[in-house]
Amino acid sequence: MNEQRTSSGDRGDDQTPAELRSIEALLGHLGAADRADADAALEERLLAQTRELMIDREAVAEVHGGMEMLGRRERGGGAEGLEQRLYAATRGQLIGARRNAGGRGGGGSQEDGARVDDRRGGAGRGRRGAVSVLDADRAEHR
Amino acid sequence: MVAAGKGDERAWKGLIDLYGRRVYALAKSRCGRHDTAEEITQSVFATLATKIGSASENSGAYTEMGRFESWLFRIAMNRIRDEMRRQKRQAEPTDPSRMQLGGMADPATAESEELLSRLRGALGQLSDSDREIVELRHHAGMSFKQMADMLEEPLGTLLARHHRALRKIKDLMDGDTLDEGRMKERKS
Repeated sequence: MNEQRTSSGDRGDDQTPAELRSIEALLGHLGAADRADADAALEERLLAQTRELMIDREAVAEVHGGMEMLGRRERGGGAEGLEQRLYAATRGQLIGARRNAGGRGGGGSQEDGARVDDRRGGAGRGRRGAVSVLDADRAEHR
Repeated sequence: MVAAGKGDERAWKGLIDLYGRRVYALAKSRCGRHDTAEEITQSVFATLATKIGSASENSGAYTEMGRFESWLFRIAMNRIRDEMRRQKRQAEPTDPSRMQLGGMADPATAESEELLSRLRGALGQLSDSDREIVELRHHAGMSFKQMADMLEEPLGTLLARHHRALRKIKDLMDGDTLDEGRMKERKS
C-alpha cells in the first residue's frame, strides 16, 4: 500500500559505486518496510484532522471578516443592526460547518476528528471555541 | 496545492496519499517508535493545513512555489529534531538494532530480518548529518536534487556525502560479520 518512493521518479540521479549497490538496495528495502509499518488508517486520520483544521480556519476567517466590518462601522460608515447580523452570520457559519463535517466522509467524521484531536493532546482549541458558541446558542433558545 | 489551500478534500487526500507514509517512515526510522512517528506525521500535516493557502494570515506560510517537497520535509526534519532533543532530555535512546522491522513487502525470512536489523544498527551509529541524508533518500524517497535544495548544499557535495555514508554503513556491517565469525570460532 502506498509504496511510492518519490513523486519525482528521478531515482537515477545517483551513480552509486557497484560495491555499495547492495547496501543501497538494502536501505531501499528498510525504507519500504518503515512506510508499510504505518497504521492502515493513517491516511484516514490525517484527512479527518485536515478537515477539522480547514473548518476551524473557515470559521476564523468569517469572524475576522466580521471584525473588519465592525471596524468600518466604528469609523462612521456602518449600518443599523450590524452586530446582530454579524453574530447571526458567525453562528450560522459555525453551525453549518459542524453539520457539514458530520455529513461528509460517509458519516462518523466528527468522531474521527475528535479522536485525532485527542491523540494530538489538546490541539483543538479552535474547535472548543466553536462548540462554546453553539452551546450559547442552545442556551439562548432554551 | 491551490485547491488544497482552498480546502478541497480531494486535493488533501492526494497530498496525504503521496506524502503521509514517507513522513511517517522518516520519523519512524529516527525515533524508533510507532506512536511517536504517527504524532510527528500528524503534527507535520497540521502545520501544512495552517500554512498552505493562507499567506496573508500567517507568517511562515507556504510561498516556495515549485519547492513543496523540500519545504514539507524541512518541516518534518525540524519536528523530528525537536522530538529527538526532547527524548534525549527525558529517556534513554532506543537501541536501533532492537527496533521492530514492521510489515515488509517481501516475504520476511529470518535471514533478511536479521540483515535489516544489522542495517538499522549500523544506521544508528552514523553521525546525525550522515544519517539524515540516508533517511531523506531512502525513507522519505527524496531525489538528490530536492535534498540539495532542502539542505542548501551543492548536488555534488551531497552525492559524495551519500556515498561516504553508504561506505560507513558497509564497513560497520562488514565489521559485525567479522566479529560474529570470530565469536563462532572461539565457541567451536
